[in-house]
Amino acid sequence: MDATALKRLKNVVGKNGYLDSTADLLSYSYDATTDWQAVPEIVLFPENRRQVSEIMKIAFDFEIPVTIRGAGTNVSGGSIPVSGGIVLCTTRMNRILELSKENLYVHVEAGVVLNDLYEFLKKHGLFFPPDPQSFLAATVGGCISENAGGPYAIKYGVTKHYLLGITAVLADGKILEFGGRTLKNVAGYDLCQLVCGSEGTLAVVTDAILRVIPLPEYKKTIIAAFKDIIDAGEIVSQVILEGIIPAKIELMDNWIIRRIEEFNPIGLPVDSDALLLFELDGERDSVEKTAQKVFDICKKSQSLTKLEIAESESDAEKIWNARRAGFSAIFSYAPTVLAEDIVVPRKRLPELILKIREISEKYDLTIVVIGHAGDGNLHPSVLTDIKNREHYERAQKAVEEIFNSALELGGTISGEHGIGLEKRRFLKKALHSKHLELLKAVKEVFDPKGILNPGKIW
Amino acid sequence: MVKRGAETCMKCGFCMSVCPVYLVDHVETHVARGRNMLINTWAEGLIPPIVSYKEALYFCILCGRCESVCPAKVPNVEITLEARNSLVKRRGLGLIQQIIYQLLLYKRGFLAGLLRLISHVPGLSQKDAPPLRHIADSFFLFSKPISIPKLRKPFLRERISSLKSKEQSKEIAFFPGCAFEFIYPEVGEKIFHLLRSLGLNIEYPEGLLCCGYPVYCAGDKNTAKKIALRNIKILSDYKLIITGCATCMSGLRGYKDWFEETDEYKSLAEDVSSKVMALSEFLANENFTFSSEYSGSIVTYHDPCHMKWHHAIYDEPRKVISSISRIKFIEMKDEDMCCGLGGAFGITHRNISLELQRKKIESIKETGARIVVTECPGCMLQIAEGIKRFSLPTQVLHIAELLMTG
Repeated sequence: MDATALKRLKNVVGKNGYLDSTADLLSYSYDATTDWQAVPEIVLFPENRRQVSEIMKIAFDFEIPVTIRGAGTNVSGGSIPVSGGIVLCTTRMNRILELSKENLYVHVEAGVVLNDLYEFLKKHGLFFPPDPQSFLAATVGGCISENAGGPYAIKYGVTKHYLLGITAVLADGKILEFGGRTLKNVAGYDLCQLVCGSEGTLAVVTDAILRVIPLPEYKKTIIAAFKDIIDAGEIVSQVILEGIIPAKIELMDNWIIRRIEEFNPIGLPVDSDALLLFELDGERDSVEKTAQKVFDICKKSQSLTKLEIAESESDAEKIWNARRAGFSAIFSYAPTVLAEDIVVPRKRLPELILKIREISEKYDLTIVVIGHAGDGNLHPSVLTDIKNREHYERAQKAVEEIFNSALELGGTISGEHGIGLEKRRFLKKALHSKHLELLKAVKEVFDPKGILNPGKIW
Repeated sequence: MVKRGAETCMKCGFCMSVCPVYLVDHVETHVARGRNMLINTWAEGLIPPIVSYKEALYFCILCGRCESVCPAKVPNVEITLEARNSLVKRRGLGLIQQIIYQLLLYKRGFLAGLLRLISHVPGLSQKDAPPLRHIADSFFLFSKPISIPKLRKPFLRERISSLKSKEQSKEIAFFPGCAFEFIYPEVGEKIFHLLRSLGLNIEYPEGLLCCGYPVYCAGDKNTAKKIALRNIKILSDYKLIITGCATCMSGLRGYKDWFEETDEYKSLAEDVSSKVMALSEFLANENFTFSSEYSGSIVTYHDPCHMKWHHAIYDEPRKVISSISRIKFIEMKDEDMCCGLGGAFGITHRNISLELQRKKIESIKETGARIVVTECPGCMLQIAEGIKRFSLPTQVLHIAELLMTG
């Protein structure tokens, strides 16, 4: 990096606002993916949008690549500085600026941790539903850049549905506000939504106006296990056809069921093929009523091996914790895990799962299936070892076939993780060539020098 | 279960949601995820500049809280200490560290003599000041950034040597550790008397050294093992070992892991480790009930990391405190957040330490408690200093000081 540029960048943030030792740079060379790593030349911690703007002006003048990073919990390679240059870390811009209870929005800086936002809102009886499972550490900025979602998507949608406005610092340092504080806003193209999910390639988001909703007063968890995963899929459809939209419907396969019973036994028959977890929320009476309906639908299934409504909140908590621990177990069973993120229309989920089982047999691999059955978003995890070349190549082929299956079934290659580096080579399969051209043209307008998160998406 | 190393870290970043150090400076090099990555890289021989690597290894307060949220159950503390150890093996220790660890802590008699000598220097020791206050008073003695706890004579050994049990029953050993020997001997004495007054045949065995944990943490496993071995040989005769210091408890319980399978003292170390109990843990298990001279006061409790995060001891001190009639117990916010001392960390990383101290004092202040109880002399020092720094009308007590029998 140009010495003048470096000096000017350091001046912008002051002596406690940057890192440049070898160990520090290495600590910003990765994200939550397994096999990507690239070391930046400097890590900057701006504390406000003015500093972000100053940084971008220098980067623009000297054509220095800028990779924006929140907590770096993303699983796409998106925050890895593959072109070196600057890592612009937003974690010190972490103030909650304004809460408007009447207008139901909260104005926060990009570095606010999601869990802190949840806790803050909870005190006011409010709720920001997007719930990527990295919420303990993930930041609002990352959530916006990846358009993150989670189990709540079936009922509440994903980040874009809660984004009213952002402050964006453009590649040349100009500060602009897109969107605003209102639910309705059709003044021109919706650039706020365009930046959402753009993986840090169009602008730096420094703060955002997020829509919030009242916190549901009551919750109920139902757990149902089945002999056959196809029957579990059928139950999901029946629940939806009944006019019920649960807050979450989570699906786990036999591998996870066994791990749950190993580590946090909750009395699941270990030969069950699939497990469904429903969470219903809303007003107490209506939740009790719908819970009973879901219970009855499950009960009719010939394939049922276990059915239970969690009696207390702590019972429910125990079940959800067991699910989390079961999922985590995947990562202790293999040196490398390719945790994928495909999505199909909800109804076609059983077909997709069958397809994955075929692929797993064909390539002789363990592929654990867990997912958000409620919204058709599946996370097949391929257990492998990056140091075992032959095995790893087989795993990658399997992943490619899984992507093909998702596309054939009318879905796509990423539901909520983003493209980043991981899925770059598959994007042209998912999008028409003209579509890709339009994307690149948009990028060109926003970032003519190509300094914002270069090397990502395509 | 196979040994889980740094390579099993899946980089999810959950540790970043609880790490006290990261929550202050937001630098990823200072949290388990970053450190594990560096340790991996080092293991692969890819990181030449030792200075920044070493700095990262020692930029951890070792509270162990990250392990409580880790989905992959990575033993971060153990991994960090192993890495420090292998760095020390390669590069050796600094001269001052060598003197402290290999001479002073290993030769207890010499240390006591030296400290007695030092204590004649005006301002370094105080005989008549009320308990605790003098420690806080002396914090700003030299220069503001580093607090030096005062020595308090007579040391514990002299205070209770006259209390040797009639015949050596070798039933229960009291392990006071360095702080209760030299800095808070009056608290050591109090613990000892409390246990005696419960009718227990407790002794303070001759010849005990430092628990060795500070040495182990610094990466000098070799010396730590030598220290441990001396203690093990003395303690193995006893049926039960009680400590009043959370860190010593953790150290002694950890002995079993300091020795390799092939080591001839492995089983002896395992035996000793299995017999160690923290004071409140012992009292709660035995269902003793207490009165207190502080009856009627509002009391809060700070969880030492070595109790809550290293050994999951959380309910026990609360059970003991709530056995006292007319004590109003109020839980503070973030009661289990590190006080910020972390042994040498509090001196080497003063700014982070002071910020954590500030947060802790704020939590204490919110409760309105006049008494904050804890069970670790390190935490007592740090909190006492904080109380002084922010002029709180609060007193810090070791749990033994709160309790009276009958």
